[in-house]
Amino acid sequence: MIWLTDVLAVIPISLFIWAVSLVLGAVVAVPTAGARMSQLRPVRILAAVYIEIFRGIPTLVWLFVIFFGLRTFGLSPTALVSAILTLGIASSAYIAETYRSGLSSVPIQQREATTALGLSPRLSLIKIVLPQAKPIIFAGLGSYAIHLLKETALTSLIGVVEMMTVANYLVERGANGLTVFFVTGVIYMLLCLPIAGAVRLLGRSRRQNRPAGPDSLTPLSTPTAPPECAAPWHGMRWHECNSSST
Amino acid sequence: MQFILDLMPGLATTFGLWLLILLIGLPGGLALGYLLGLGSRTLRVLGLVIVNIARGFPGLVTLYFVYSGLPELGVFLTNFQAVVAAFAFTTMGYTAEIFHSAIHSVPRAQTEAATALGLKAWKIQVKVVLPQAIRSVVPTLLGFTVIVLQATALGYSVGVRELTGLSYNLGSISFQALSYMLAAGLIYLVLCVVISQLADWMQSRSAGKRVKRVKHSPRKSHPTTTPTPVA
Repeated sequence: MIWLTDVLAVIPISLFIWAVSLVLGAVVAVPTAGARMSQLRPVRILAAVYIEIFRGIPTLVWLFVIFFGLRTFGLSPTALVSAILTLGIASSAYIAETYRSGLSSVPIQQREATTALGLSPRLSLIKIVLPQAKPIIFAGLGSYAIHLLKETALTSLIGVVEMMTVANYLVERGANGLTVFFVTGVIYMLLCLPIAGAVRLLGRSRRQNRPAGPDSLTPLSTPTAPPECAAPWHGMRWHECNSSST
Repeated sequence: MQFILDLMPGLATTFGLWLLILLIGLPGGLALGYLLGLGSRTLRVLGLVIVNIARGFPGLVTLYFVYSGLPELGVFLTNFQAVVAAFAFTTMGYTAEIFHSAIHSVPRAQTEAATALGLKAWKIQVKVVLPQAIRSVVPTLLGFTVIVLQATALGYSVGVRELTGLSYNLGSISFQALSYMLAAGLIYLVLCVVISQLADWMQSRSAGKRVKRVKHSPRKSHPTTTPTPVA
């Protein structure tokens, strides 16, 4: 079991790729989601095409395209940089859809009411819409974050030294493939646990913490989080997951 | 255009992988879904362990486990078989949950009514529960097939010459790696868009049916009747 330390030693690299690309994706997703819900039709279509392109092509192909593509433009990024770039941009497409589904889950009457009250659009978004969309956005973000952690294994294929690379190397050097890969898989599973826990904590809506007051009388305004979806390894869309419930 | 034509043999392999994975994985998922709903505690725990491993392991880890781990146990698979086995297993895990909740969502009254009519237990499942359960998850499963299609790209890592593997090979022979990869990406994109459109279309169609059915069904104004089961 000496090899175990070698695998454990590169966990920080996997987590680093994961964290940086998640943050990159979450940030880039904000303007993307904004464009996807824009009033202007061409902007909307452009954003939809961007999202569809990144979701319709396997991440592995994107890894190669960006890795080779940057070379063609005369840049010579390290494998790590192009891995983070690829995963970050690809996640921005998925996360933008999460934002959108969260925001559109808030009943339109809520926004209409704020207009009637004379709130500015900005204030209405921050104070009224976002707090209600939060549980759904965090649920989607969480399942995507878990999925992304598993995707980081793909970066071993373009030569980033992370857990899979080390595991593969060890097996090629004669370690028992059965145990090495099984333990690596279990490590990935264990790493997902705190993410799932953190998401559950963050996504709890404020309403649930409060004692049932008069506002518990308005159940319409509380968007219920979608039923737990099979977090897929390629980011399923929420509406596809929910359709099983009749 | 030439690039896309060059990749056609790879596309055939990708389709073959895809079909085999779904043919093995979906029935397996259904069986596993039943296992999850069983009364027996040990069997249910076993099912949960399988589902969690299938869903919790990255696809690449499962693939390597099957391809270079199983030989330790004397199971030697070709790279093609390894991809099918690994992703059929993963598909099983993911769809087990979908099937489980679908079977669960069929109203109990259906089973009870069938029992009252004297149907045998297996006949109740096959003739009454399953048709209702499966019809409700078809769009979800179609969406899932897109994910399986994308997962077959990992076959590259064990040397299967499917769409990604072939384009990598051709690309490194002809020094036009980027063009071949872009062509492969384009093919994936078209396939995925077509399948998701099909899923959306089926979903909207079944949703339309649902509304119609509820409207036309003769409903007695009895407040405690169970909601009309979805056809």
